[in-house]
Amino acid sequence: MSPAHAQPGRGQNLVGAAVLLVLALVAAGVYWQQLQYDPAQWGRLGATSGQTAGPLAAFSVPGLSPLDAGQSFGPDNLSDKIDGKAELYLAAGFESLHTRRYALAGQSAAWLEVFLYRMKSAEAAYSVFSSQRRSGAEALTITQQSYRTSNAVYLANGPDYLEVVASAATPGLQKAVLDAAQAYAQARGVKKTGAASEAGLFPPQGLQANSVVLLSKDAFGMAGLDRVYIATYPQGSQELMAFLARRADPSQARTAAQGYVQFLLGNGGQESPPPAELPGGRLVEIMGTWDLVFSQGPFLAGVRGGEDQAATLALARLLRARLSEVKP
Amino acid sequence: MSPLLPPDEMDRRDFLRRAGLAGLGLAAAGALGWWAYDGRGPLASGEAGPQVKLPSYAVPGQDRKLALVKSGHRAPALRAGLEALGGIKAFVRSGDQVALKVNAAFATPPALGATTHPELVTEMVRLCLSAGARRVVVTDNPINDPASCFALSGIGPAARTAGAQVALPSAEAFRPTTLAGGRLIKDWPLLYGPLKGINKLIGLAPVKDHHRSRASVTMKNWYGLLGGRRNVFHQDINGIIAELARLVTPSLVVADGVVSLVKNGPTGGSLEDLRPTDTLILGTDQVAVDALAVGLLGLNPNQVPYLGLAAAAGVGTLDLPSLKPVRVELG
Repeated sequence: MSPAHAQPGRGQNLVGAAVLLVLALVAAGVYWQQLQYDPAQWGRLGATSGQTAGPLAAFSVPGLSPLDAGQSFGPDNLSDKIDGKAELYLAAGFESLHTRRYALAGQSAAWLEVFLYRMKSAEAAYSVFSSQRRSGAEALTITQQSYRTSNAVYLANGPDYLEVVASAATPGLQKAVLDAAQAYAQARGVKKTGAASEAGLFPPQGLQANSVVLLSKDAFGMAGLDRVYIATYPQGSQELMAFLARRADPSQARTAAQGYVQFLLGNGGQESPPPAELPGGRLVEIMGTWDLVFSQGPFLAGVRGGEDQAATLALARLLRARLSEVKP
Repeated sequence: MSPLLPPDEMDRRDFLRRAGLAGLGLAAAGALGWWAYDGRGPLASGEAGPQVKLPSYAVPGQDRKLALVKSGHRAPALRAGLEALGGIKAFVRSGDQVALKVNAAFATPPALGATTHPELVTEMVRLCLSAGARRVVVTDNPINDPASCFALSGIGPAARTAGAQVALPSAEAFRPTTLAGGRLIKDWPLLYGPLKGINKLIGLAPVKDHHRSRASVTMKNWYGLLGGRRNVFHQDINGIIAELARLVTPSLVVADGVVSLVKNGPTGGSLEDLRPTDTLILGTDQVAVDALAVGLLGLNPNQVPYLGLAAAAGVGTLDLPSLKPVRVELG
């Protein structure tokens, strides 16, 4: 048997602990430094996009010739194609982008580019479609949500968002972008729109046509205020914005309304006495305009940006009346 | 089992000696690790080379210059603006080597307003050469495929036709750089190759709406000097633009608001995203030029956070009247 062990002294214990501490610090330092290394940082020219058109590979339009093999992008390199606008798509729920250029047959200088965004849901596609909608554009019937401008066609179709953009607004290219969009719809089939029923709840009186937009994330700059529908109501040279967002139940809607009011107050808003005609409504003056916020059933709702308090309240009353008709 | 250190063979002196040796061993291992540590990490390809630091390209005596020209035509507006600032020879002298940093970010036609307009490139190249520049280089590190971007935007053909060289980014053109006191630009690849030997740097940028930063003008234009996975900076877009403005001290910047991309930027796409704003802004103070330019997008400078950050960092001023801006109206 071994002789009896002497107990280590206090000094030995301290030195031993110090050595272990140093070793732990070295290990932590190595771990921390390797975490900082980003190999992608040194991919000097950025991530390489896939040199493939994906679903556009077999896409053909009579009278148009492909100019390239096309490209595909995912969430990691979407910004390589559209730079700072990538965040709009990523926030809404982006899966992939496929692009390809085509030229009018025999006219390589007259070209167009097809952008096919595959989003995670029809609602996500509607969000990016609606938030970029060009006012005054001509509505089309290719899909439930489609329009054209002088050189482009834009449409949402189920989880797809399609842009066909021509290099110029010539008659030949205007016809070509329309042909390309129709060829896409024919090949893909027309899907259900991503606009939820909430989009139809805004009061029709004074509503600007095609102004309903779905903000997917961080609406009005407030983190966590997601899935908010907004609509524009012109008021002379000014305009009011009505908004609504469905929550899981009335309790969550009330909490969301309180949270948004706190957000306004935290950004310099001043609360005024609640309007008698809108029980439970919260009226906040911020930067010279009025915001009226309330909850109605499962909806957080309100009116933003009104310079005229009376007009703000009038629109809020209409909105509340519409929402009160919604059956649970 | 025998004891490692029998108590009767271990005295205080022995313990201290052994502890000291163990400490020295640890220190040596740490020193070896420190010596062998490569802070930059392995490279994707080739050699990064030593760190580079951009010199100031400011022209002595030409600071705090600002001019605004109202015109619907770029070439005469550029000439008039430069005249208002003392003429092209105030900025470009005989024998100079000039780099024009354009915005060739996208492979889109000039009509969409997402890139520097080729007419502006043509006229600036012509003016630089007429002032005696020995060499004019036009460069950018685009978002999309560089060759396509320079070709389809019209910038490449315009520059070559006017007598400039077009420098597309290649892997060898990047060198690591660090902004002193910077938070974001640390050991980051910079498009340095086209700037070698250059003694004048001029930024030519369109005035654009930008989804992340609200506005993209001359300061945001330096983003095209970055390499690597620069999209990580989109999470702090105002911070990176302000740091870029600190990194780059140009000879002159030009904001092209003859037609501005007022919606759905920075890519746009529809001609309906554009608005004729009939304005060209030139100056040596990037902050002031951009502060004037964002007005074309319907914004106040205080709505564009990077302007305040850059001004606070001493890059330029938001006190525009202090620069005594020259205003020129062309018919």
